[in-house]
Amino acid sequence: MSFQIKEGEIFGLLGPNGAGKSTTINMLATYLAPTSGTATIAGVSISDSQRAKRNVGLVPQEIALYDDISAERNMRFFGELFGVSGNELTARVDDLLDKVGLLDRKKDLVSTFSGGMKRRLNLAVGLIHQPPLLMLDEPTVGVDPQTREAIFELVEQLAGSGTATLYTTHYMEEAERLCDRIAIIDEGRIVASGTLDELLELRTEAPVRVERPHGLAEVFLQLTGKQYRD
Amino acid sequence: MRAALAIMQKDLTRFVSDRRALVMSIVVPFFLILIIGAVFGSFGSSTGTSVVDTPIYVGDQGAVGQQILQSLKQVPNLNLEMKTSADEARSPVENGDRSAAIIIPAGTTSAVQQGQTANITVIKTPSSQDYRALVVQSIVENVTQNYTAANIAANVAVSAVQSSGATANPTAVADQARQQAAQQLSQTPLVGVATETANQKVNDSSYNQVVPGYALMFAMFAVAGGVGSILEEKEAGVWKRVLISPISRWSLLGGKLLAQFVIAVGQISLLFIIGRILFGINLGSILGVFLVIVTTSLATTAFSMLLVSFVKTRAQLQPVTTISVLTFSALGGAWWPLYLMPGWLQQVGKVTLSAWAMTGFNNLMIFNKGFASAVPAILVLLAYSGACFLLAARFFRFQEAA
Repeated sequence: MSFQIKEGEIFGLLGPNGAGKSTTINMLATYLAPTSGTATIAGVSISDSQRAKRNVGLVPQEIALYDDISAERNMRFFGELFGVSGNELTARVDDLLDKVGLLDRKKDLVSTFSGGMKRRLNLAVGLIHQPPLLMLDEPTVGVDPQTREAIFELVEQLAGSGTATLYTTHYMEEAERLCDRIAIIDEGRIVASGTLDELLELRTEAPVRVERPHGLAEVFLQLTGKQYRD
Repeated sequence: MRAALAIMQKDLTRFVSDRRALVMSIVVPFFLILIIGAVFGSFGSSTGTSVVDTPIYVGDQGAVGQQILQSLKQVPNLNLEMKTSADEARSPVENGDRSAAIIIPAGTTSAVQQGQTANITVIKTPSSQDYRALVVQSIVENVTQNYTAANIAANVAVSAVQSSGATANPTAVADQARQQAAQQLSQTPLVGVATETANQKVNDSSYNQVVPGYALMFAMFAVAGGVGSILEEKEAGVWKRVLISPISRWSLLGGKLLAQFVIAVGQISLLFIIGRILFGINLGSILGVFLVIVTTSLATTAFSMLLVSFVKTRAQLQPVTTISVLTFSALGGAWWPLYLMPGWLQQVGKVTLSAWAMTGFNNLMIFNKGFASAVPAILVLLAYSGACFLLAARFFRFQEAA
C-alpha cells in the first residue's frame, strides 16, 4: 500500500471490515510497528516514533475520554502529554471547545454529555497539539445530522488552514462530500484510488446495485464484492 | 517527568471527584474501626484456645526440674521452645514475639530436698488482657500443684504403711493417710509459681491494632482498584490514546502508580490522624510510623501492579483482588495481632506484605519499641516493593496483541 496526503488535503480511506484501515492508522500513529515498509509524516519517519507522534492527531473510533472529569480537564491532560502548557494550552483549549460548541460546558463532567457532544470533544482532543496530520477513524458513528455537519465543517476548516486529513468511514456519502481523494482498500491493498470523479469513472455497465446504479457506493461494491466481511 | 506528573494529577483528580471511592476509602474503614474497636475493647480478650508457643529454660538438671519439664511437655496447649539461658527465654517476651516464658531455675531439686519451697518463674507480657500469658501461668500452676500433690501422696502413703505394721486395718491406714495429705497440702507447696512481668511497655488499646489493620486492608482495596483503572482505560480506548502521545511508556506507568501511591499514603495517614484524635492511638515513633506507612503504600502499589499484570479485564481483577486482600489481611495480622496467631501461621504470614507492615506498626504502637524496631519491616517492605515492581514490569502488557 502506498499513498501520499498533501497539506490541506482530505484523503478518504474506504474499505470493508478487516480491509486494513485501522491497522494502517495504528501504524501511522506508531501504536503498531510495521512488519515492513516505511511511512513519513511531515518529514519525520514513523521509526522515530517520539517525534512522529507529535505530527499526528488521532481521533479514534471509540470515545477515548475520561468520563469522570470535565471536558476542560480532558483537554488540558492530553495537551500536557504533548508538551503544551501555560497560557498557550488555556487558549487552545478554549478555542477548540468553542469550535466544537462546548465552551459553555467546559467545566461539566464528560459523563453528563450526549453522544454527539462526546464525539465533538473526542475530535477536539485530537487537535490540541495542532498536528499537521489529522487521522479520523469513523468519527461520525452514532451521531445526529447536526453533529455530523459540525464535524464536517471543522474538518473542512482545518483543511483550509493546511492540515492534512486521513478520513476513514463506512458512509460513502461522507467520502463523496468531504474527500479530495479517496483510496479503496481491501485485504491490505489499495484496489483503486483517485478523486471522486476518477473513481466514478470505474463504474461498469452492469451495476451491482441495480436499484441505485450511481455514486461511490456502487464503485465500492464493484471493487470489493458483496460478500460479508465479519 | 512532566508527563508522569500530568498523569498523576489527572488520576488524583479522578479519585477525588469520585465520591463513591472516597466513601469506600475513608468513611467505611472509619466506621469499621469504630465498631470493631469498640466491640473488642482490648485485642487480647479473645477466648479462642490454641497452642501457645512458650520459651522455657530448665536450669535444674535434678529430678524435680526434669519431672516438671516432662509434665509440661505433655500439655497439649503448650509448644515448648527450649532455651539455653534465662535471658534467652525472657527475650522473646520482652520483644513481644511471645506472650510468656517459663524458667525452672538451677537448684530447684536441692531446694525441694531440703524442704524449702522452690519457685518456677513465669515471665508474662505486661498486657493484662493477653489470655495466652494467663493460659501459660495457669498451666504451670496446675503442673506444680499436681507435682506437689503427687509427692505428698507418695510420702504419706509410704509413711502410713511403714508406721502401721503388718496387721494394720487398710481402712484405718487410708483414713490416716488422707488426713495427713490434706494437712500437708494446706501448707507451703513444694514447688510454687512466681510471676514476673517482662520489661516491656504495652499499649493494648484495641485501636492500636484495629486502626493500622483496617487502614491497611482498605488501602489495599483502594490501590488495587486504582491500578486496575489501567484495565478500564484499556477497555475504553483511552489507554491507547495516551500511548500514542509522545511520552515514554514508563512515564505513563510511573505517573499512574505515583497517583495510587500518593492516594494510599494519604488514606492511611488520614485514618491514623483520625485514630489519634478520636481514639488516642499510640504512635510510638512518629517517624517510624510514617516510614512504615510510606513503605507499606509503596509495597501495596507494587503488589497491585503485579495483580494487574496477570489479568486482562476488570471483571477478572475484582475476584483476584478480593481474595488476595482478604487472605493478606487474615494472614498478615490486619484483623488480629500477629502474636496471637500460632507460630507456624506467623511464619506463613511473612509471605504477605501485611505481616511486615503490621509487625512494624505493632512494634511501634503496641510494644513501644522505638524506631529501630520498625527498620527491619521497612527494609523488607522496600525489598517487597522492588520484587513486585520487577515482576510486574516483566509481565505487564502495555498493549494487547493485535
